[in-house]
Amino acid sequence: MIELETDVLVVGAGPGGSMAAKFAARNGVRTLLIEKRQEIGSPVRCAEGIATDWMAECGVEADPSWIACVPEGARFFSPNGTCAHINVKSAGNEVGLVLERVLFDKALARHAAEVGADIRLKTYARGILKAGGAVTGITGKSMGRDIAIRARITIAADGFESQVGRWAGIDTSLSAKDIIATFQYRLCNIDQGATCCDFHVGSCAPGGYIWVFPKGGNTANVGIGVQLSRLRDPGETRRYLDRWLAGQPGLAKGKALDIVAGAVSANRPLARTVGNGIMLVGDAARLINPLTGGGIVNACISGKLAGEVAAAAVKCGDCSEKFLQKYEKAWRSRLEKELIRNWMAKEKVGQLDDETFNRIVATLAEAKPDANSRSLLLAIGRKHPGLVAEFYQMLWA
Amino acid sequence: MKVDHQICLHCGACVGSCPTNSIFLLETSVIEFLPTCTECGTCEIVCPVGAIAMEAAESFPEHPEPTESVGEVRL
Repeated sequence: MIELETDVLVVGAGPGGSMAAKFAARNGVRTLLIEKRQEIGSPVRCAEGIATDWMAECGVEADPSWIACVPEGARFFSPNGTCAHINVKSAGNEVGLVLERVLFDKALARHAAEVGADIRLKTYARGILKAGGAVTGITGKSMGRDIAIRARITIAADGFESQVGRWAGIDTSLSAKDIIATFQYRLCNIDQGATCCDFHVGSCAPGGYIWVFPKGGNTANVGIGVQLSRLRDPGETRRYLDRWLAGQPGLAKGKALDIVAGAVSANRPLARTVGNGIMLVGDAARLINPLTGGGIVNACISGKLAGEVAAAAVKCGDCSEKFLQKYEKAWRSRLEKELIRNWMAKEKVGQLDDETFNRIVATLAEAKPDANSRSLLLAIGRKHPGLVAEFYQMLWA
Repeated sequence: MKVDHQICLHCGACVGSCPTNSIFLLETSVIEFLPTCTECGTCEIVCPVGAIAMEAAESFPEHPEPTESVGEVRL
C-alpha cells in the first residue's frame, strides 16, 4: 500500500485538472495531479475545435506546437445543402483554432509541473476517503499497487465519467435528453472544399450535429453527436455518421487515421458542485457548453477558479463546503448565464425539423452575421421571430 | 451487461451516463459492472460503437476461437 499526503489532490490530468493543479501549486500549496492513463492527452476524446478569447484569462499562450490548424471561418450546412459561411475574421480577433489535443493537454500539465505540481501517471481513484462528513482524499491504484492519497482538498477533474463527485454524494447524473453520444473519425485523403469548421444540422444527427474540423493537410476530424433520447439501437451513433458520410463526395473517399468515441453532457448547470473537502471542475462538473458540446474552455476557466480557491482554503485552514462555495459562486458568475442560454437554445434547436433548419440556414446565408451566438440569434430573430421568442429577454438583457 | 472488448474503444460514454454510477473503466482494459447495476440499458444505447449488450455471454464470446491459425507457416 502506497500512502501519500498532500494539500490539494487533482483527479484527472485533462485541461481542467491541469489548470486546477497549476493555479493551486502557483499559489503555494502542495499539489498532486493524478492521471489514470499512461500518457497525458492520449487517446484523444475530442473534436479539437476551440475558441481563443479565453486564453489570456487563463494564462494560456497559443503555441504553434499544439495548433493543428487555424480555420478561415465556420460554415453551417442545412439538410438541403444550403451553406451559410460565417467569416470569423470579420468579427475581430475571434478566430478559433483546431487543436492537437495530445500536445495541448501535455502543455497544460507541463505548466502545472513548472509551478510545482507533482504528477503521477497510471494512478486512478476507485473510491474516496471520508472523515467527519468531509472528503479527505481517495483510494485507488498506482501502477497496479494499492494507493491511498490523503488531501485537504480533492478536485474532481475526472471528465464526463464524473465518478469522484458522485462517490462524494454530489449528484451529477444526467437525463437521456441531456446526454449526447459522440463518434468521430480523423479522416485523411479528403476534400473539404474550404479550411473551415463545418457544422451539418438536421435529421442527419438528431438532437446534435455533424462536424468537420480541419486538421491540416487534407485531414479533418469528422464526427457526430446524437442525443441519447433519440437513439434506439446499440451502435446507432456510429451508423448515423457512416450513413451521412456515404453521401458526401469529398469525404466518402477519406480513410480513417483514428477513431474516437465518447459522450458529452448538455444539461442545465448542476445545483451543487462543491462539498466539504471537494470541488468538481470541467466536464466532471457538467460544465460543457450544452449547445456546442465544447468542454475545454469551461474546464480551463473552472479549473483555474477551483485551483485558486483550493489554495486559499488550505492557507486559511478552512476546507469546508462553506469556504469552497467561493469557487461555486465564481464559476456561476463567470459561466452560468451563458450555460443556461445555450441549454435553452439546445432544447429549442433539438426540436426543429429539417424544413425549419433549411429556412434558418438560408437566413444566415443571407444575413451574414458575426460569429457569436447573439448575432446569430438576432439575425434569425429578424426573419423568424417565433423561433427565438424565448431568448429575446436574454438577448437584450 | 456484457462488453465486447474487441469493439469497445474505452471512451467512458457508458460510465458517465450510468444513472447508478455502476460502471468503472480501468484505463484501456476492462469495464467492470458493480452489483448496483439495475440493467436499465442506458449504457447499451449510449455506447457509440455498440459494444455493450444486455444479453449473456454467447453473443460476445470473451475469448473467441481464432478463425485461422495464427503464426502457421505454409511452405
